[in-house]
Amino acid sequence: MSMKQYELLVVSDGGLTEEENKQVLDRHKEVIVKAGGKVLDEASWGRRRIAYPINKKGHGIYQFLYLEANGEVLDAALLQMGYDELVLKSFVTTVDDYQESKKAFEALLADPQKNAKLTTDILGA
Amino acid sequence: MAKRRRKNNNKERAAKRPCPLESAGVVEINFKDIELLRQFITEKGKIIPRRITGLSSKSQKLLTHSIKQARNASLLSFAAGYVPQHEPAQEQDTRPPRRDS
Repeated sequence: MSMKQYELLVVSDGGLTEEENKQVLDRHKEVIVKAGGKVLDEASWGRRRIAYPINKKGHGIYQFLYLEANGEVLDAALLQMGYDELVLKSFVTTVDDYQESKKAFEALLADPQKNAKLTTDILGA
Repeated sequence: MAKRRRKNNNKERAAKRPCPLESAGVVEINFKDIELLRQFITEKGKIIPRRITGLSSKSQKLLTHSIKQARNASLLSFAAGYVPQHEPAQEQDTRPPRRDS
């Protein structure tokens, strides 16, 4: 089966310490590797306030895993994340090139307000 | 007598505005760029229609897709739109003090 590149967003419980969070991530990386996928890279967005409460929690730790995987691997990974109570959300998007995607994300992290005032004059908002 | 259909008069038509995103040089629309997306949703979190945003068909489609992704990733709220990272300073309680006890 052909492999594609994916970006997997994992939002874990915001109350976890760094070590606990690492354990959670490692647990899921293992699942991915066991199913035949590959973890190419990762990026972290840190602890963020989430837009709506999930399991009565208001904060989550956002992190991205860049994967080389196929449908079976993703199924296995998402299933395990669904069972895990410490993972609030998991979300997959396809990427053409993970390095480009990571670069774009880092640029966004460096300057989050870059595109914040584009349309004020047009929409009058 | 049936009403005569008004012909499309070119003089009456407003000049076409360029797509605000393309003219600003935004190439990629990504669900992580919430500061960009929040400009195209209302206070209640609804997506603003194209006739108001003036976006090109392509951009609006990408934008809509990204907004929906951001909602699923809990970056934008379904019902309350953009949620700031830090809570605004608490408003002072202006209610009159309670009388009992």
